[in-house]
Amino acid sequence: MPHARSMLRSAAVAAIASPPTALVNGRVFSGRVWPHAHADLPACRVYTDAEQISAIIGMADVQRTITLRVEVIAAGIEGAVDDDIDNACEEVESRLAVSLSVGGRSVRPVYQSTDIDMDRDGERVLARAVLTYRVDFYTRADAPGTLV
Amino acid sequence: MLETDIDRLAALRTVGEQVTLGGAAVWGMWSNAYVETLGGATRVPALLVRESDCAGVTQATQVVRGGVTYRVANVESDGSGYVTLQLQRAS
Repeated sequence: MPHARSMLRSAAVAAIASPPTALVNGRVFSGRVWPHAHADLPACRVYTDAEQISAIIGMADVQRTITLRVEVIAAGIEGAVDDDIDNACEEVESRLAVSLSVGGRSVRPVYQSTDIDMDRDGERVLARAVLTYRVDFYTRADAPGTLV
Repeated sequence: MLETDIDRLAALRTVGEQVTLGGAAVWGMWSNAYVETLGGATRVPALLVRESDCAGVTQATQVVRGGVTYRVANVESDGSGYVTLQLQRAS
């Protein structure tokens, strides 16, 4: 049984990638570290970050609060790249505004924040938006892949 | 012996290429470094030209090389008689 974090990432990737959207168009990756070429943008990277556990001694279940982050990367020309990254973010936000099926349970990502960076040194302006979601659910304490 | 503007032109004609800068043909030396930033991979096009060829060049002046049009994003002058033009694609 995969860990709940792994199942959450897979569910988020599937929700964003399928069916393909107009801009991101299925270019959604989990665990990807290689840089994206302009021809492969916009694209998304999905990863889980911090996780907080609330456990009570003697209880069989633990509450997990996972930080899910989606990086949206786009390239554009000066004056238009703000819209390029925002339009790609619109696709991601829409896709994650639903409940995800994780380990047979329905979990709902709660949208927390967006941070945007831009680099104007290249032939096109590169923009990256990091969308942060909080996801809460319970698992068995002795089986982190079993949601309850 | 001090380098003259003619010397700089001769140097650029030896190692550079002709491009269009603001509608005029000038000699320059092209570079296109590869960089990775913010999860993307990109190129950083730049053109080294004589400062005397840059009169009137500002941000957004167009450079055409090999059929591709760029805009000047930044003009970097170091007082040597050469100027580096940082470029971005126009479209």
